[in-house]
Amino acid sequence: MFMSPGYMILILLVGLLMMGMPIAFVLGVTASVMIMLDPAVVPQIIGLIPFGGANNYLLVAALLFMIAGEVMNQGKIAEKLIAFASSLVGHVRGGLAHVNILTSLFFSEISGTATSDAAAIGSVMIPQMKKRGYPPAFAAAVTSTSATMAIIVPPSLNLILYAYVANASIAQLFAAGILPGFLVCFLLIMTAYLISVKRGYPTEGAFSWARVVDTGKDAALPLTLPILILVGILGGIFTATEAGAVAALWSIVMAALLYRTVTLKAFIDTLRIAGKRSAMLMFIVATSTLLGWYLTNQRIPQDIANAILGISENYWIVLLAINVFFLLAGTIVHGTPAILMLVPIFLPLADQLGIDRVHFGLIVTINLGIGQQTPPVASVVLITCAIAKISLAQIIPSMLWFIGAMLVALTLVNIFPAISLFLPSLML
Amino acid sequence: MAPLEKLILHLDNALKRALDALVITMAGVLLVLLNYAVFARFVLNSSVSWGEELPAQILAALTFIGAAYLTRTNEHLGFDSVARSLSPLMQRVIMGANLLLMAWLGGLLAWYGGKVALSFGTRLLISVDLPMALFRAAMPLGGALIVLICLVRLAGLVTGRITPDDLLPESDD
Amino acid sequence: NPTVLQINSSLPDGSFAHVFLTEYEQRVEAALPDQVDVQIFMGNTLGSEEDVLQGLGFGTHHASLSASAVVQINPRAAIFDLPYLFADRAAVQTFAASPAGDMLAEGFAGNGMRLAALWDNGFRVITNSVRPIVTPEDLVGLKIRTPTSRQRVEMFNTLGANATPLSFGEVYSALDQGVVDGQENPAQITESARLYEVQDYMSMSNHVYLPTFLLFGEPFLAGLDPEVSAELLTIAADMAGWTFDWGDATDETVVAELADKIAINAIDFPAFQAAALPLYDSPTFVDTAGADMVTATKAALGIE
Ligand code: NA
Ligand code: NA
Repeated sequence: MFMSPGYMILILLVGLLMMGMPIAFVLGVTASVMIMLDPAVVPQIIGLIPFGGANNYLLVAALLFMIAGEVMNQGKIAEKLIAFASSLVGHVRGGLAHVNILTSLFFSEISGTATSDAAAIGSVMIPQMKKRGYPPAFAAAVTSTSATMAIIVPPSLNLILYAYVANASIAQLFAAGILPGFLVCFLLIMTAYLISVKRGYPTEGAFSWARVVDTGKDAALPLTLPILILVGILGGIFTATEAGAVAALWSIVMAALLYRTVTLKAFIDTLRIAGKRSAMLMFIVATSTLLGWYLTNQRIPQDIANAILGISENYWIVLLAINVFFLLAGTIVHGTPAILMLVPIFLPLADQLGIDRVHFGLIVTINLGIGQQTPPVASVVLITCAIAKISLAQIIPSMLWFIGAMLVALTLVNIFPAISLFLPSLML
Repeated sequence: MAPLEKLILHLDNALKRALDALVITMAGVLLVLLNYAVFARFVLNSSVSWGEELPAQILAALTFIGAAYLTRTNEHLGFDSVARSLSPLMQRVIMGANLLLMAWLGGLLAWYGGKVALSFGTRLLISVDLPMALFRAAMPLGGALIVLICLVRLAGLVTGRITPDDLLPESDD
Repeated sequence: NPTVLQINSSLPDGSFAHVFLTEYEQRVEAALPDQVDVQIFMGNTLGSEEDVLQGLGFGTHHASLSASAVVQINPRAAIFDLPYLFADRAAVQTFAASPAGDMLAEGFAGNGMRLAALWDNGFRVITNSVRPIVTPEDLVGLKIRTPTSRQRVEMFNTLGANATPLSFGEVYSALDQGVVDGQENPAQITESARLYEVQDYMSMSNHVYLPTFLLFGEPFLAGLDPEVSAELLTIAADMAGWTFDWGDATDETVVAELADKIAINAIDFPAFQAAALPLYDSPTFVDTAGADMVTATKAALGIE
C-alpha cells in the first residue's frame, strides 16, 4: 500500500464523513476499501464479521430500553415529573432552572439517550421559562447541558455500548454511573443558582409539603420504572437484557392500563421507532466491527498505545491526554461511533496504566457527554435551540458556565475513582 | 407519468411497507421472547435454552433489514454540516458519489454475506431447531436492498426528481 | 518477510490456551526462524468463535484453538460430552492415538479445516453457592449455568439440576447476583475468573473431559510451502503431551491454592456414573457423535 494503513483509514473516515455519507456507511466503506486493497486479507471477511458484530445478546438490552423510553414519552410523563420537581425546588431562586435540571435527573433514569431527554423536557420547560422571563438562551442551555445526565445515569445507551466493547459488566457500569450523575446534577443546580441570584430570576411560590405529596402521587408511577431497573440489575435479580424486557413490559402496562394513553396504533408506532433506532445503532455496530477487525488484524490499537506510552508513562499525563482526546473527539463524533471506534483503541492503554475498566467507562462517557454540548456535532444543543427558536451562536455564551460545571465534575471523577467505583464495590 | 415510472413508484412503496412490517415484527418478537424468557425463569422455574442465542440472532437480522429500511427513509445518522454548505451542483456530485459508494458496500455485503449464509448450509442453531442460514440471509438481503435503493435514488438524483437535500443524513444523535 | 500465522482463541489472556499458544509460538519461531511470525489473538478479538471457525474454510482466518463450539462443525466432537468417559488425561491421549481419534479428525475434513492436535483443557468440576454436591440428589433444584450446548443442558437436567445456558461473559455477574446458583468448568476457571469470590463450594465432579482443538484452515495451509505446513502440524502434535503434563501439574497447584478460598469436596462417583447412564442411550449424544464413534471410543478406552 502506498501509505501506512493508519493514516489512510483516518483520511477515508474524515473525507467520507465530510461528504455527508451516513456514519455506518463511512465505517463500512472505509473498512472495505482497506480490505480490498490489502492482499494479505481475504475479502470474504466482509461477509462474516458484520453479522457477528450485530449478533449480540447484550445489545438486545438497548432495543428494550428504547421501547420503554418511547412508551413513557408517549404517555406524557415529562409533565408529571416536572410538576413533582417543581414542588421540590421551585421555591429556590431561579426555580424553573432547577426544576428543569431535577426533571432531567428523574428522566435520565428512564431514558438512555440525551436527545430524547432534551426533546421531552425542553418542549415543556423552555416555553414555560420564556414566559417567566428567562432569556431563551439560558433556558436552552440549562435543558441541553442537563440532558447529559441521561447517558451518565442508568439506563444509558453509551454505557451498554461501552460494556459491549470493553467486555465489562453492565451492572457494574450502571452502578458506577449513579454518583457521577448526581454530582453533575448538583453542580449544574449550583451554577444555575449563582447565575439566578446574580440576574434576579424569579422563584415559583413557597414550598409546601401538600404540593410535594400531591404531585408526588402522579410522579410515583413513572418513577417505579427506574426503581425496577436499578433494583433489578443492581440488586442482582435480572441481567441487563432481562431488566430491559421487564421495563418495556411494565411501561406498556402503565401506559395502556393506568394512563390509557397508549393505543394499539401508538404501540405499533413505538415498536417501529425503537426498531428503527435500534437498527441504526446496530448497523453502526456491524460496520464498526468490520473496521475494528481490520485495525486489530493490523495491530493498530497496540501500536497507538505503545506510541503514547513512548512519549510518557506518567499515569496523570497519559490520563489527561486521554481526556483531552475524548473531549475533542466528542465534539466532532457522535457518542455511538466514538465508543465503538475509539474505546478499542484506547483500552489497551488504559489497561496498561491500570485504570479500572468500569472507571474508564465513566470517564469516556462524561467526556463524550460534554462533547455533545459543543459544535460542530451538537445534536442535543441543536434540539434545544430549535425549541427555543434561537441560533447556535446565541446559545454559546450561556452554555459556557454549565460546560464549566461539567468539566469540574469530569475532573473530580478522574481524580477520585471512588465517585464511580464506590457503588459497584458494594455489589460484591 | 410513464408506466415504468409508475411501476417503480409502486414497487418502492410496497418495499417500504414490507420493510416497515418486518422491522415492527422483529422488534415485537424480541419484546415477547425476552419477556417469556424472564417468565420461564422466574415463574415456571425452568430457563429456556434459547434465551440468549435466539434473541441475538433476531437482533442481527433486524440490523440488516433495518439498515435497508433506514437507507430508504434516509434516517441513518450522519454529519451534514459541510455538505449542506456546498453549492447545489457540488452537493449533487457528492451525493451521487455517496450513493455509488453506499451501493458498493451494499453489494459487498450481499455478495460475500450470501456466500457465508450458503456456507452454513443446513446447520441449525445450537439451542433451537432453526437454520442458521435463515438469520444469516438477512445480511445479503439487506445488502441487495441497499444496492437497489441507492441505485433508484441515484437515478432520481440524475433525472432531478430527488434533490441532494433529500439525501443528506439525519444529524440527530 | 516471514509468513504471518494468526491464531485465534475464544479464551482470555492468562488461560491454559494462552499458555499453550505462547509455547507453540516459541517452538515454531525457533524451528522456522524468519519464516513464520506467529500472532496470538486471545478473547475472540478477531471474531466470534462461530465466525472464526467458518472463516477457516474461507481463508479469512488462519488457525483457531477452539473448545466446545467445534461440535457445530464436527458432530463427532460431541463424544467429549459423554460423562465419565475418560478416567484421566492419559486416557485422552490413548483416545487421540486410536482409530476413534482418526474418526474425530476425519469429521473436520470437508469443512475447510484440519485438526492439528488435541491439547489439554481439563476435567470440569461444579461450583455453587448452596451446598456441597456429593450425590446427584444434591443437584436437584439448583440452577447451574452451562454453555449453550444441547448436550450439556441435557446432561445437567438428567442429573437433576436446572440447566441455564448463558454465555461465559455473563457468568461472574450471574453468579454474583444469584441469577444462577452454580456453574461447571475446569477448576482453573474458578481461579482465573475469580469465581471463588461468588461461590462457596467446589465439587470435584470431573463429569466431562473437554480438550481444546487446534485447527488450521485448509486455504491457509494450501498457501504455505509444504515443508513449512508440515512442520507447523508436527510441532502442534508433538506439543500435545507437554500440554497434558502441564495441565495435570497445574490442576494440582490450582486446587491447592483454591483450598483457602472455597470449600472443596469429592463426589460419590458410582452414584453419578449411574445417574448419567441414560445419556449413553440418548439421541442427543449418540446420534450427534454417531453410534460408530461411541463404539470405537469405548473400544479404544477398553470400556465394554
Ligand atoms: Na439514563
Ligand atoms: Na459536539
